[in-house]
Amino acid sequence: MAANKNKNQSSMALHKVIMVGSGGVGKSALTLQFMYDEFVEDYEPTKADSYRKKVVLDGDEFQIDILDTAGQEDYAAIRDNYFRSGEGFLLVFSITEYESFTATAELREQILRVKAEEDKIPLLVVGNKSDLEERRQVPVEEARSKAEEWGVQYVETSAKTRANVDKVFFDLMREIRAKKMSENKDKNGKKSGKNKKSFKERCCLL
Amino acid sequence: MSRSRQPPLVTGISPNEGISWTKVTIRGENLGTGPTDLIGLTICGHNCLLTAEWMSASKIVCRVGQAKNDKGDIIVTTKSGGRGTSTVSFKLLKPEKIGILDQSAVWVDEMNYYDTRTDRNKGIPPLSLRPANPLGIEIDKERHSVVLCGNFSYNLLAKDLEALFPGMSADFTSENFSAAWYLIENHSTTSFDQLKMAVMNLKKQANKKNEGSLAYVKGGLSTFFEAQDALSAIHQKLEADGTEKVEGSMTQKLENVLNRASNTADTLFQEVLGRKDKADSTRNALNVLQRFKFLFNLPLNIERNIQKGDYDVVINDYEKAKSLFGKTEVQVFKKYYAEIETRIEALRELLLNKLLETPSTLHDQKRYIRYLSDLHASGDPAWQCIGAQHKWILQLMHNCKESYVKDQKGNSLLHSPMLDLDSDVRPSPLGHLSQTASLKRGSSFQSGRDDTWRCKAPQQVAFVEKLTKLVVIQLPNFWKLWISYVNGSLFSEIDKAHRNDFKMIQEVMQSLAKLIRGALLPFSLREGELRQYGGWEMKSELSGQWLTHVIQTVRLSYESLTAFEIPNDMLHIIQDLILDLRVRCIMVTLQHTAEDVKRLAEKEDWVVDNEGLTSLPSQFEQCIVHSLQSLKSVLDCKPGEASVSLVIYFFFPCILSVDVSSPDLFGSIHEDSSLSSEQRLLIVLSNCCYLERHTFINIAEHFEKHSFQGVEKITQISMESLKELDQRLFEIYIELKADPIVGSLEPGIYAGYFDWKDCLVPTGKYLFNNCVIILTEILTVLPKIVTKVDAIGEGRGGLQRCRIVCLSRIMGGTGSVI
Ligand SMILES: Nc1nc2c(ncn2[C@@H]2O[C@H](COP(=O)(O)OP(=O)(O)O)[C@@H](O)[C@H]2O)c(=O)[nH]1
Ligand SMILES: [Mg+2]
Repeated sequence: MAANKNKNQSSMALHKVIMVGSGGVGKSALTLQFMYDEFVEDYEPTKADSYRKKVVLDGDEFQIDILDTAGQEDYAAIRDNYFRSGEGFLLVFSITEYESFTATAELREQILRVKAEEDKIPLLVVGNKSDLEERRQVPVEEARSKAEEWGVQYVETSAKTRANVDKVFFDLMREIRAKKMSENKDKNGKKSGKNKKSFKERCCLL
Repeated sequence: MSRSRQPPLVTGISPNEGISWTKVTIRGENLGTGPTDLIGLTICGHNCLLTAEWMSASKIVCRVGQAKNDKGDIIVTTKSGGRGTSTVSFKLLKPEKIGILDQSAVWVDEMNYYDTRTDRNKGIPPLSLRPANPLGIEIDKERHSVVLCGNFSYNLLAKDLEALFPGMSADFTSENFSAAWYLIENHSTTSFDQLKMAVMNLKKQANKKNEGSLAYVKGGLSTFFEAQDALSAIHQKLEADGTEKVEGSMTQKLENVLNRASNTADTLFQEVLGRKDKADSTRNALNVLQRFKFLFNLPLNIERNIQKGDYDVVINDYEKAKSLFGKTEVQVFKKYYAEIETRIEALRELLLNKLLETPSTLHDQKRYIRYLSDLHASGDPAWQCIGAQHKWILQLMHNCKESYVKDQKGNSLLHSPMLDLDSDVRPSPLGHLSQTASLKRGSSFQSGRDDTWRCKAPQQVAFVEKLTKLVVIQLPNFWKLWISYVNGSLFSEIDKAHRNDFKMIQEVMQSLAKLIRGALLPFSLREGELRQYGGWEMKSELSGQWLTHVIQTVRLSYESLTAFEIPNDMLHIIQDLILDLRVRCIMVTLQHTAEDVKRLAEKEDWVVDNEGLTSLPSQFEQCIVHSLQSLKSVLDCKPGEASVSLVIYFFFPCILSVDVSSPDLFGSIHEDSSLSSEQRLLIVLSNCCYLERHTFINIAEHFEKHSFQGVEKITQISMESLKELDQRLFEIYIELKADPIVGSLEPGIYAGYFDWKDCLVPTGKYLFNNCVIILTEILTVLPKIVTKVDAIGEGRGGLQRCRIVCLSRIMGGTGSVI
């Protein structure tokens, strides 16, 4: 039974999410909160962490694969490789650190460059550490207008209080799913006809 | 219960790639109910259980072992859930390193080489990670808030606790751990049930230690069995050995066995270790060669640069090598340094030879001296050079002399050199001028001189020219070198003893002077010196003209030497020489003049002009004036020269005395002349008169023109001797003329016994006639002398006076008769 389940699991649809943002904004904290309902107080710089688990999205079972990257990665070339494998991105900054907000623009551009052949990339701008309102440096309005300019959603989260944590991941997954479905439709439109045809042929042969 | 059966599932790995021994955090679900529940952990197929630290059911920390697979799953196995699965994978990165024993075709820089095995000891083994919560129950939230909310309450509590448990600590790793303090601090609000659970947990953990090891033993049971077998085999063997009663202790045998094992191991690894050693030594050698390339290449470089003449480079390199390796203890360096030293020594020798080489330029000398002093050559190369130069110059001078002496001897066999040359062979004044100019330019003395002159010039003169030229060219260099040495610009230590040592310069000067003396004034040298500096064949004296020329030459060289600021006391030698030469020249010239004057007598033609003179007086005057003119340059005092006019005083009277005595000879020489001796005497008397009245005055004027002092004295002496001559001649004449008259009167005079009254009166006519004849003779020959005859006739004494009185009486008588 277990084996069976595993098989199901591996055959399940997989959404690949990549955490992007400057160092120390809370990418790992958000990931761990989402994955294990756990908040890490101490800061340990990340290299590249992989996470993958089953989630139920709007009644459907999916697998989410999260790649938590190093914010302070110096080599853009290595980041290129990460980004290429991603299907959706959480572009995280800390509302308590203005620089992390400005850094998002460049990171977004890099994503767009790497994913140039795709028309719309699922992406959410995440303003983390909303629990630290008193230390806010990035006004909500500014972040929101920037997101609007880019045509993406802006959400403020707190990895500490878990506020909006699930929302950002699920919203992103919905976007990914929607994109995939629209792509599949395009393909299936051609493929289904073919398949039917060959099925018919086989029947004939039989 | 069903939950515990759920298999472990790994859903997170941090980081997702890394090399061996990377510490990883594994997260997931159902990772075990506790440390004991965890019975298996593999990453990429490698068992990592030994380093695994169970943190919670969702977190395990461990280190990646040396896995075989590049990328693989993380499999957790628990007692409660069995073998699990993972949704994530770990990628093992190959460390880009070559093992210490791996053979490699490329050079491996082992500077930053770390043995991966030693890495193990660097990290803290996860086993030692201490649990944050030893009781396994939730720690007071309260405490947390106390700590966070304010220092006040917390501090109060801490102080109270410290007072309650003096000398104790709440840190459970401390030796003074107080459980009560710990509980109050961390679990003051925990319920009793919870605390009971904590006790349970503690008990479990205590058991776990046994369980844990048991679990581990189960994993590697076969290994343990093997070890057990080996140990029992050893035990049996030992027992057997013990019963055999081996000499010495039982461990002796064991030691032997271990030694043998060690030896075997050594031999096994010998090859590999040997190779490593060889590689190490090769590397070391290469390193040394690389680092000390400079030293090892130096001998060759020195050789090359010496050949190129880049001595500066060599000196620089040598200095560098000396400071770096001069005091080295390393054998190889010592050897090379010694090699360098020998080469430098050879260079020193080479440089010294070059320095002492002659001829060379001052520039080169200075250069070599600098090199030598830079190379710390022993001794005083600068002084050596000065010495060598000195010797060389002296040698040159002597060689010059020798060659001319030899030439002279050769020439005398072929054709006798014309030593007495007249003014036509003298170099023209223009020639002298160009000579001066060329001398100042430092070029050859003989330039602009025609070869005929050279052929005609006597060897001595040519020699002096050559010698002075040589000295004027060589001495300045030598002098400059010496000056540089003394004022310390030769980079060498100045020997104080040499500072005021003018000996060498003096010696050059002296030998210059002596060589010239040897050639021209041999009598001014002593016996020994003559042998060294002379050697000339002294067949005939040089003429005054040649001497004048030599004086010119020496004077020119003296001038050029003074231009080099050679101290005066050194040039005195030359001054003395010039003075001697001048005196000599004057003497020779005057002697010649005297001889010329003597020879004038031969030229007397007895042709009397209307003044009653022959050409002799004017010829005499010309002769004197000519000699005076030729002496003009010699007599002229150059600045710093002593006046030589005094010499004239001593020699002119001689000439004149010769001159005045010469007419004495006329009588005997010119027997065949058409004129009678009486007539000749009259002419000579007339000439004397002219000499006294005009010629001597003219000559005195000439002397004055040449600015000689003491002309009066010369004139006076000359006049005196002239007067003497005049008188003598007159007396002879009177005697000659009076004799026949007196002869005719004498018988009468004697007859009257000198009583004029009793005397026989001679026949007047005869007397008168005789007197008239004499007077006419005098008048015809010399009309002006008549008065003089009378005047001189007055003051005579003795017999002569008597005769004259007679004569005058006769004449008076005749007059009266007439
Ligand atoms: N108060 C607060 N702290 C946070 C939040 N998110 C992260 N942190 C802290 O920020 C530090 C950096 O977080 P981390 O997730 O390691 O940042 P990363 O470099 O983006 O992965 C850690 O000390 C976290 O505890 C948040 O939402 N609120
Ligand atoms: Mg991180």
